[in-house]
Amino acid sequence: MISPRLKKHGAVWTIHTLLGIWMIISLFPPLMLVAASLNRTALFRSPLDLLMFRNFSTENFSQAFVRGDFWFFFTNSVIISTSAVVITLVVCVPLAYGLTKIVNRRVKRDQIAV
Amino acid sequence: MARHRDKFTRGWWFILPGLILMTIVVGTPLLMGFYYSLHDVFLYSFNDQVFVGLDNYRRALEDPLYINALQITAIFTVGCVVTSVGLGILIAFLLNARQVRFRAMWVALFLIPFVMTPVVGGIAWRFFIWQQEFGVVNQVLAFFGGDKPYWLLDRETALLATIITNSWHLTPLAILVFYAALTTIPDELHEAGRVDGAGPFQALWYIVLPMLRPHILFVSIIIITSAFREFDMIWALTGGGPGRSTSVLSIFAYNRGIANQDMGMANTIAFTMFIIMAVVAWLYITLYRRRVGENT
Repeated sequence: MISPRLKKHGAVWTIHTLLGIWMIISLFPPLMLVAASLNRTALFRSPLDLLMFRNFSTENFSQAFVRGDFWFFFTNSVIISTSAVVITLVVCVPLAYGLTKIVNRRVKRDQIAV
Repeated sequence: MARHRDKFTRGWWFILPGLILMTIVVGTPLLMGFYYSLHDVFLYSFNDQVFVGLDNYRRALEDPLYINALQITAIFTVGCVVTSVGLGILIAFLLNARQVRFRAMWVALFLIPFVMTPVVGGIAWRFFIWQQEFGVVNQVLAFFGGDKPYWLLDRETALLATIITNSWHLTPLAILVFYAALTTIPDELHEAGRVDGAGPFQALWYIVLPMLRPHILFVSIIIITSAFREFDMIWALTGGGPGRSTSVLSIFAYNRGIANQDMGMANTIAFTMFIIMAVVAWLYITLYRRRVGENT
């Protein structure tokens, strides 16, 4: 007979273990990208080997800034994302407000929204 | 009455800029796409456009490669929806358990795959997870004495690998929506279930799932539309290969339009995708309204 306390502990451990497994699956690819970026020769090396950081180097980052023209692409990304956010807010906030005002039998709000 | 009409007119003034913008950025490409789908248009002789009516649609429907791409897209979409929604419900249910600590931290960590660019996620999975020699999956299989398959180079496994990778990207969205929905289920329902002797699985089946039904519909439609037009992650993983085993409609349209320079056919494929998605969206809205109607 399992005591209620032991049962409760078992449930806590099971839930946290399952969540932990999903966390590993979720985070492993981005973690590997970070590990690869911090190793000198990342391609065709075992992921576990990369995580050991045997060839640790920040050279890839300096290369990205110097040879990869990072700031040029970064500026483009900032311009595009900022414009998209501004346009969306300027257009969609009044639109959502307007939709709440047009209560009419002939015009259905959902249809305009879709 | 006059006041009501005034309010109505004012509402339209607020809607108008958005409506105009949507007409320009959505309506124009759509109409142009439809126009090109009715013509023979080739990139190398763009100005020599010949009107062919619905001939491109007939050619597409008679093309076994189009049918193959349609089947692969359907399998890919269904696979992604089932996996993402199933995992989303399970993980959200676990997250919502009373015993879980640091919930905000778990939710934040689980969201990371969703905010990653699909191309970057695809590259990470291709080189670190599915890679034949050093990939984690094969290393785990080898540890247990299994074979080391070429996941992305084998016609039998490539589609499965792309479905799993895309589900990894989309599951966080499902987790977020289902977790938010689960927090709104009154504790009394769970208490009542416990009093009646319901275990965790019975609670999931008889309490949680019925309460989540409208949210499942919502998440499903988002994932269907996202998976149906998926391009970048599949392109980063397999490029549509090996052979045509992962060539979904968007990749097929791209190949026709860019590699074959047949923009008429590419637009035809894209327009059929739009029609299929419009039908799915209409079905969703109908189902959703019926569900809301039942609940109110």
